[in-house]
Amino acid sequence: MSQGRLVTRLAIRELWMTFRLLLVIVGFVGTSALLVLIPGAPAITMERLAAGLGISTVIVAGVAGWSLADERTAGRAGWLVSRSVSRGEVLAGWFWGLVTIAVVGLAGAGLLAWLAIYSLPVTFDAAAFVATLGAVAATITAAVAAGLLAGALFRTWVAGLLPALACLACGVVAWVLRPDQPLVPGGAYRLVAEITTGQTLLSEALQAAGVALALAAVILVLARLAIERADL
Amino acid sequence: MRLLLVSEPDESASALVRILAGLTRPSGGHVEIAGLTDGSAAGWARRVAHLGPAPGIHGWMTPRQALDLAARLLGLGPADAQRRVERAMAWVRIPPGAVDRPVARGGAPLLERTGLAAALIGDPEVLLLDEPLRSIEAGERARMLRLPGRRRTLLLASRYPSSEAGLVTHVGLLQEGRIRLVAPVAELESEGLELTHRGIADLAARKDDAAAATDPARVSAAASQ
Repeated sequence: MSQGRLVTRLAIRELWMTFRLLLVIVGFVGTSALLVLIPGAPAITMERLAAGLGISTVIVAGVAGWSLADERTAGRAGWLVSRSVSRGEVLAGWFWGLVTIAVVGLAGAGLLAWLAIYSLPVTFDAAAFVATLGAVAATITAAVAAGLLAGALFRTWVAGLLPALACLACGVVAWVLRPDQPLVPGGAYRLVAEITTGQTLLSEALQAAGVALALAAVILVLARLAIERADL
Repeated sequence: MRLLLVSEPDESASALVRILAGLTRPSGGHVEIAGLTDGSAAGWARRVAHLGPAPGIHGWMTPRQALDLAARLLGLGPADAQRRVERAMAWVRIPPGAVDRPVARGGAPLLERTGLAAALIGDPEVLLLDEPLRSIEAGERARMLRLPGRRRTLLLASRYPSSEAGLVTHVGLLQEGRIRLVAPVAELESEGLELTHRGIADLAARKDDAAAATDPARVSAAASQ
């Protein structure tokens, strides 16, 4: 097994043992479970789903920042590096570990949301729904990358809070700028909220996903540069 | 060679060890170990091991899990990994009852023993130690750090030089970022100095005085005055 996969497994195990994995999964799945338990009008239901997914993404960003900073300050990242694991592999391991968990949570949330929407008296485009969740997943990767960037630069509390606040600000901006601004990071959540109105298009969802992935790539490059200079 | 490094200010010896281990980036210059400047796995990374004051092992891991992971990160085959894990555990004397319990439950001594065992898995030529094994009794600590093997270099950064008596063969003084002295411990003893920070600094001062007295340029300058 490659060093990168070993680090990813170690990251997931660390998240599990410290209950941070549960925090992420429960954030996503709990949101959708509430939708099923508390039925409402279609528009309100989807707005709740979008808000829940947004809050869960903020939590993921905070967990990502806290986790990497904690690995650095506790010397665990250094332990890996002194075993000839490259700093890039440490970063990649945590990135894939966090993204995997968050996407599993999102998949569970999507399934429950599908059931909730299925019971509503509305018709919607299933392909657009799946693409919109894909855009949310892409936004989550950007949030994880932002968390890891903060984790490579700051100590635990700051590294946890800063990316969470940044993601929250992006979400608020995306919400305020409605309608039709999928190019704003966080626009995917607005698309989720409008999925039952029939206004959400597949192309918009794909655009939002592309913007988020491009942003994630840029932030990951910055995180890589930051961890190369960081004290481990 | 087992070199004890003390420094002024105190923390710079630790900083040097961390730079050599690749944990801190130097603001300038480069690191060369055994003639290699490449710090990756293809260079000297696998010939060097590091153990700091905090071993950096997850508290939920058992010693066996930590050592298995260390072996897998080095890419060792299962049989070789098993052999090395058993050998390392025997060297640091991890109690049989603690082998499969989380290291956090065993406290600092178990964590530190596991940390040293993990450092030894790769059979490193150079062992970089930064205030290691402080929670372990002095005699046992010295036994653990007196590693077998001829081609073994040990660099130990310590703020408590007297506690390293009997363990190190050489002493070094790092002052204001520069190595001012590297000398055998026997030289310290022959000068009637103790293995303390002051003793090492005094030896460096005496050697400087002796060097100045035999420097032809200085001697002729003094004579002309």
